[in-house]
Amino acid sequence: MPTQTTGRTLLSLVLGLLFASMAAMGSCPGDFHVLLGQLQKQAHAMQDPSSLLDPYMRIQGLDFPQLREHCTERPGTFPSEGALRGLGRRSFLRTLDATLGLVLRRLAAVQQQLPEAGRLGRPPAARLRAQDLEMLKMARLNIHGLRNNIFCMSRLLGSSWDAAEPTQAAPGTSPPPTPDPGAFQRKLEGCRFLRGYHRVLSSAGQVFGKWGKSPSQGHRHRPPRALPEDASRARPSRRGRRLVPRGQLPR
Amino acid sequence: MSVLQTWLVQALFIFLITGSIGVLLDPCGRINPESPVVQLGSNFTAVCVLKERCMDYFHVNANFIVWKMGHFTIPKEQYTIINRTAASVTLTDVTSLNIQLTCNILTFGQIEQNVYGITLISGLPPEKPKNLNCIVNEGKKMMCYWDPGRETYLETNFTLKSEWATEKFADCKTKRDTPTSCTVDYSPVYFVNMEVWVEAANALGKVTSDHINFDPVDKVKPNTPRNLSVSNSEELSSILKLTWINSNIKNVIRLKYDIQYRTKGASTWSQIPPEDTASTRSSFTVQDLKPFTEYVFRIRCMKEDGKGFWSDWSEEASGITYEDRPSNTPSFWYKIDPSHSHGHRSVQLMWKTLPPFEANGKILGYEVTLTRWKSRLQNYTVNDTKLTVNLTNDRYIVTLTARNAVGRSDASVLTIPACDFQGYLAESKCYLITVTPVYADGPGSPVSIKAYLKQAPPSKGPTVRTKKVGKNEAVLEWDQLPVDVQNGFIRNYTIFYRTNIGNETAVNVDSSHTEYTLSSLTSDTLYMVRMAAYTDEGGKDGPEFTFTTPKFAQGEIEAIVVPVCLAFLLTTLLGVLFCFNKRDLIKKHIWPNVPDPSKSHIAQWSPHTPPRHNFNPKDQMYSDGNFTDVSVVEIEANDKKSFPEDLKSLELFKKEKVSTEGHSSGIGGSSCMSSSRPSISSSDENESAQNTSSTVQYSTVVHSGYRHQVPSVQVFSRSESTQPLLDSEERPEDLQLVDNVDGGDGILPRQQYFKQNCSQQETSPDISHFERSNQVSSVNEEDFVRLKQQISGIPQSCGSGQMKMFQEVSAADAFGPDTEGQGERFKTAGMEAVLDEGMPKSYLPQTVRQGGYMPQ
Repeated sequence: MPTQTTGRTLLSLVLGLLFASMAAMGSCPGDFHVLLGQLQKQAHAMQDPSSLLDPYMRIQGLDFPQLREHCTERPGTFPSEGALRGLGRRSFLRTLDATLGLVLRRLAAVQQQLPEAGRLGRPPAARLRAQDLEMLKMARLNIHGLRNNIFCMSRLLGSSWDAAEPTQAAPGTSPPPTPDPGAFQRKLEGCRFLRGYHRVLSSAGQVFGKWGKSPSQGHRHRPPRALPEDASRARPSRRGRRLVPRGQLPR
Repeated sequence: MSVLQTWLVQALFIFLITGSIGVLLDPCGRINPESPVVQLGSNFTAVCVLKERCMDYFHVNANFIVWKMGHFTIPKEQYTIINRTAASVTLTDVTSLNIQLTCNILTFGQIEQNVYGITLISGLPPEKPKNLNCIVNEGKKMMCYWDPGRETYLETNFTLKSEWATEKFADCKTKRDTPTSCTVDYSPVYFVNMEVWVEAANALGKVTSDHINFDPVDKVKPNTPRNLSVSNSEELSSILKLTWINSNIKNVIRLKYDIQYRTKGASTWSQIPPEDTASTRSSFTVQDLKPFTEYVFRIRCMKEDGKGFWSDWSEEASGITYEDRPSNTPSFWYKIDPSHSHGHRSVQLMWKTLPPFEANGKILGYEVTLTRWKSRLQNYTVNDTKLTVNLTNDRYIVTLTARNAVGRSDASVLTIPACDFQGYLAESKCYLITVTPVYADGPGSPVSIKAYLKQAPPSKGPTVRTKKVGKNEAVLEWDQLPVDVQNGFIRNYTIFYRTNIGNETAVNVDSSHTEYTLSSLTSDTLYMVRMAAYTDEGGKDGPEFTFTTPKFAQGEIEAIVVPVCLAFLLTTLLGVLFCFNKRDLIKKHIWPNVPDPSKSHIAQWSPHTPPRHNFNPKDQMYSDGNFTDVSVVEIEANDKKSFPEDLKSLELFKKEKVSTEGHSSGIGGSSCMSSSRPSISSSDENESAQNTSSTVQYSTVVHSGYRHQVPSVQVFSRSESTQPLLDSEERPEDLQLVDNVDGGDGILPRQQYFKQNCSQQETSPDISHFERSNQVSSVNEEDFVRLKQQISGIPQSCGSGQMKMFQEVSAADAFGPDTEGQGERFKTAGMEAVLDEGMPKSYLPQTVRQGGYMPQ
């Protein structure tokens, strides 16, 4: 009797997971090129600093030409375009997803420190700041959307992917550059981080563009399976480690 | 103390009151269910359960229950007494939306008292929402709307649900006043597919719409293009340039536009072709507009691929096209003042202003020019629409042009006749009379007509000619008469035609025609034809024209000659083919083989004729008595490598001798190189004997190629001559060889011949025996043994030298694998030479053996 119960439980669990997986794929585009086009357009739209960096700088009071000059990407924070190009498709998707997860966490931390839109002071400045906050919020939603499409593409390519746990990066694992930076340094570091974010999205757009030109390996919707190509790539090799954003545990 | 007593009394009173109210409010029974919702059209059953207390108090039971709907008592037939305390009622086909159902009892048998009441609500379950769609107004949140289906009469909640593959969004619940749409509280994320559906629920059920899956960017309704402005171009009066500012959505999607325009005051809009505005832009030049005309424009946009929604129309904007020169001339006329003085007259010129669509701008003035016959010009610039001038009695030509900022119109020309003009109309002249009506607002359309004062017969007749002449018909054509010679309206034509001896025939033809076909003509006949044109006053003949009809129609000769030629060619071809196929038969009958008795000799048949070897089906084909008609030489190379050696030996041979072509036998002719089909002459022994009785066959060997060409293989051919050949005639070179080499018996050349053909499997009949020996045929070797036996005892001394020669040649021949066999063959050849010594040298009669001929 206990054996029967365990069997039923396992069966229901498997079926549940199966149906959950099918349901999760429900809103994904089934066509590779459609999905790739969406990814390209998303990357193109999100690489624009006006979508995130600019409002961030305005909110943080960094919107000055001199500071803009100092707001450059810190090397090594994000994988370079060359490194991204060298990745297999699934590894690339996984890396990009991890990068976006990291950005989301940083944005969440930033937003926590910001006042609510309703308490922003006098009307003209308050309205502008409210717009920036709204843009920040929208940027987060867009990043979620991009991760959603990355998930869909990953599924389309036949990679197993746990949507509920898209990244393994621990929150706030991106180590600050200095042990005890001041508030200003933290803002500047956030600026540099976001500069890198826009750059990496630009690079991702380039990589997706290459996907469209090269013969696709994922034109058809294949059932999820372990792929030797990525199995080897997914191994925690030195190269793989380097490509993963800082604080990201290689999967 | 008194206060305490008062308080206690009050408390007791309140307790008693409360208790009595509780008793009074406690119902005597209940109805189940208490809050029913039923579907319209269905049945409903309610049960009333009485309490024992009331039953005792009022002395009633379930039989005393009376059901009422509102004020109407439900018939007893619908009741069911369940037990002493409970009774039910069943309502069939509930159609009322709201029913007050009460359970009553007849207390003391006649007083109706209410026990309990419920409100029965009826309605319908929700239908599946249909036509779910969403719209994303740019910059706003997404709103979805749907068709909720039929009225349910119940409170129905609609919930819009949406999700990504990885996220589930909060439900969107409709408001009471907008149950068919819901606006989500999150901003749409473009380029991410989402799934949306609607759930409708009420007390009778819950139903879900079909799920729709879309990218929100495909549901966008862009903001209206703003700041639409219109500007004209001085260079082109037919264009207007529109400019506008696109909404920010252009950074995300590509747009297409819908531009409409109309002239100011018009009600209908014209549309710019959609293909011209199918991509993102911020300006557009509208062409083909009228000059100096005010146009009103409006614009809207949507996603380039047509997915989504059109934006609202923009604010209208207007603009005026630039001026162009007047496109028409002003209507122009004159009026002559009748009270003119001597020699002069006052003429008033007047014209109408051009309508705007012809003026193409603001008319700045008019220019009038007066020209008298061969005189100077008089120019006037006028702002008004009339001009009065004093003119002489001469004839004048007046021109008028209108001028605007861009240019002037074409000139309108008017002739003012001379004052003493009197009409003179000639007879027989065609006049074109034109009448132009003059209305208050200008001249109308002129109407013209041709007229004659008096008609006359044409002064010249039409000239007829042939267009095409056939065997039995001719097509005639002619030109219309010039108007100067018509002298009236041509009413009809008459064609006269005749032969030399026949009567004249006349045919009438309508005047509108310029062509006529004469039919039923006689072939190869001379015809004379003429034509007359007639007016109302008479006719006039034209010149006569002659033509001859051909004897044959076009293509007739070809139709006869071509089949005849083809038939002839076919017959010839068939004849040639027949002759080719039956050439042997023909030869036999036409050129039979006639033996020459003077050259005959007695053939000696070998008693040792071996059975035929190497017999093949081909041989059987010639097994009849007509074998003499067939000469077959079969040459087969044993070893191709040996050819060069053969050629060497041949070359050696050729150096001393001329081509054997010239030595072929006279009558039958040597078939030197004539046969392209080498084969072995084969026949049965009997046949050979039989053939020998009538014909003797010969063969010769061709050592050289055709016309000094070196043959690739040695060729043995066999004479089909019936004449016995002289040996010297056949092979004069052999004789020479005999003289030169050995001076012996003359056999050597033949042996040489054999030798050189040792690579051939089989050759001409007189060497067939030896040639067989040359091959790897053991059977042939037996023949040699027999020969040896036949010639045993003959001295071989003379053959030794020849033997040597054979060996030399044999050394050059590299084809024979069996050198011993060759040696034996050489020996045999030498023996044959000895054998032939006793034979006449002039010719070599042979008899046919199996597969060849044996020298006798």
